[in-house]
Amino acid sequence: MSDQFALVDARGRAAATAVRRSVAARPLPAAPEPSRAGWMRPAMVAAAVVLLVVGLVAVTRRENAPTNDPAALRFLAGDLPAGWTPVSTKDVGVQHGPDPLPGFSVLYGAPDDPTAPAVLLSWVDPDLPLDQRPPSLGFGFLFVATDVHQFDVQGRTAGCGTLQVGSLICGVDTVHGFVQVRSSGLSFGELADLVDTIEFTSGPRLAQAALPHGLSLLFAGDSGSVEASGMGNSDSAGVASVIYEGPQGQYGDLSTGWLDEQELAFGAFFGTWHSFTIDGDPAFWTSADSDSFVQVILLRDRRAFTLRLVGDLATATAMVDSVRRATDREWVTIGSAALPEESPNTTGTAPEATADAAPFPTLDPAVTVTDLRVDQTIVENTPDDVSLSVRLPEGEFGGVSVAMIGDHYALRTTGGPGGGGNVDQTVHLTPFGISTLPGASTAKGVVVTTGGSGAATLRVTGTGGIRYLVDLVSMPNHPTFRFAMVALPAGSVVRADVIDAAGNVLATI
Amino acid sequence: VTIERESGLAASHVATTFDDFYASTARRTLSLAYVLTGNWGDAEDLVQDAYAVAAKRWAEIGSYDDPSAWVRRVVLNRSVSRRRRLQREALAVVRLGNRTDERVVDDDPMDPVFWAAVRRLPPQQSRAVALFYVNDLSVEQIARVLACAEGTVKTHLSRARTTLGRRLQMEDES
Repeated sequence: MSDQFALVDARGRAAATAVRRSVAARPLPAAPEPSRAGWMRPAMVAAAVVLLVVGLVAVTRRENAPTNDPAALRFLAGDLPAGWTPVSTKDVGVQHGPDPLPGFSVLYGAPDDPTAPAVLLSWVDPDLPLDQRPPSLGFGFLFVATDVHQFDVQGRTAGCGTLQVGSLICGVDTVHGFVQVRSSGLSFGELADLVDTIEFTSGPRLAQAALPHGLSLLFAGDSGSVEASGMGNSDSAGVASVIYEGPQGQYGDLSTGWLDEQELAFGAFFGTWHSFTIDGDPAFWTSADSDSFVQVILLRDRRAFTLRLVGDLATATAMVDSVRRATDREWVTIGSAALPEESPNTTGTAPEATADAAPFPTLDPAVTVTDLRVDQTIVENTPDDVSLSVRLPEGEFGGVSVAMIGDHYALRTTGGPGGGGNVDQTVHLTPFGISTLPGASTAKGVVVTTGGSGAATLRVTGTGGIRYLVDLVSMPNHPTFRFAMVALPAGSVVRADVIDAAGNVLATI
Repeated sequence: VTIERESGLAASHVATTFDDFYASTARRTLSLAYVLTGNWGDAEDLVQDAYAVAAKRWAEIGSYDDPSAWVRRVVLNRSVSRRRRLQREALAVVRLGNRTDERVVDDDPMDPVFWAAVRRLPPQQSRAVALFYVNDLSVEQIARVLACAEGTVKTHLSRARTTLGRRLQMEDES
């Protein structure tokens, strides 16, 4: 064991040293200011995406609850696939995850039917005191939506994008605050028409006369309530849940809630659902097209059992069909397994810090530096959503896409031979923002964005001595916003500069 | 004005301006946030948020014996909240067919594989490991930040190393 500890310590200390070196070489962000106005910050993005994707729809029908005994919702899957095991439990009434956000949600759909069209409005009251107000929903969906379009609603900036086939998202910055609108089963035109009818009566509402057939108001209230629906959220206080882990660390969870308290229509936003029966009980299933992730809802014995599993439908169906009550001992034993107690075995000696070093490779002084001007390939998905990449003589090493509504924008990686990975959400300041795109397995991308006119060219120097020059270009529908990107094989970026037309360096990483 | 050095928890604190405090402690806090989040953007945001609160309440926090410990705790707490949000978000995104798995670079000296394994630990273990390796804190100092007993910290570190050893060995073998 001590050998293993020593190996972990050695690796951890080496990794920590590298992190400190990297931090030392990074420009320190400006000291924070209280104002959150201006360009979209990652915190807002995170909060917006959380609300967008997960949603927190409060359910206030507790008066119909058959019982408040937590044990009545403690269920386990009776039959588990080989190698799977329960790793933790949570009782109903216990909220895991982040503190509830005091937002306001309005849900339209068909009662207890996730297969029907649905619309969800999300809104944050701008009149709330600053210390009680969550980050504005804003246009955070830019990071996850495709084919983004900007348009006007009653003279206000609005925009819509596609999350997946049949699932759209819009945002409009009304005089009463920002309203985010998600839909399932509606066309872009239908949703845009609905967005145009938003009115305010103690929160946003859609005009009743404009509602498509089959949609009715199901819920309006505090989206941050701890009585949140368990749909798609095993951390919710509205359900009891068990987390499972597979032999290769695969994830699964089983949530159990009272059917009267589960807003099943909300499930419409989590996939394309199909109805079927399990041993005669109504059930629904959905699965990500390109993944082995499957979700099954079983309505049985006045309860809704929701199983989310990395596995196939047959396995998930068998698991959820095998649900049985857990004994108190089982429930507690599983729950306590997450924090085992064992005799300590550590000295607690703090390692020595080491000297800082540059995060990028240095250029061999013997290498002759040569400038090479290259062009960006720009694909206009919409006038507000473009993809760009650069083909170098050595090949193409990934790309990014830019989506923009008003003065909010998002950079997304778009893959490519060596691309992929997550976008670096470093704040992109005006007039200059410059960042690298981490996460790609074989490539390193450098992106510059600016709202100013001084920057002319992005210049990226590679270890081979070539300085790639790419001129900044404008967003079609936003001519004052300009950008450029270069991606090189990982480990071959020596430095990157933004230069003006006279060749003066304006920013460097 | 005496500025607190970036060397773990300060033995004593001499009042200084917020800007000095930020300049002298932000990098170390950023290191901590990076290993807990896995990307610079989120790390910088966590740090900005923590220091923004500190700035707003500097009259109070600046009087603490060790304001940097307070900032660290804010970062630790928010990183766990963020991680839970992202786990749920990732599940939802999987449902949307847009998997956003955390990808890592094998030859990165910052060893993202290691930190990804750290982030998969139970929250208190993850926090203890980050403070131990990145901020060079002793068990006693970690116990102060996490507001728990030293024995508990030792247990967390022991458990974490055992789990990390097993997981990293599996990663290497695969």
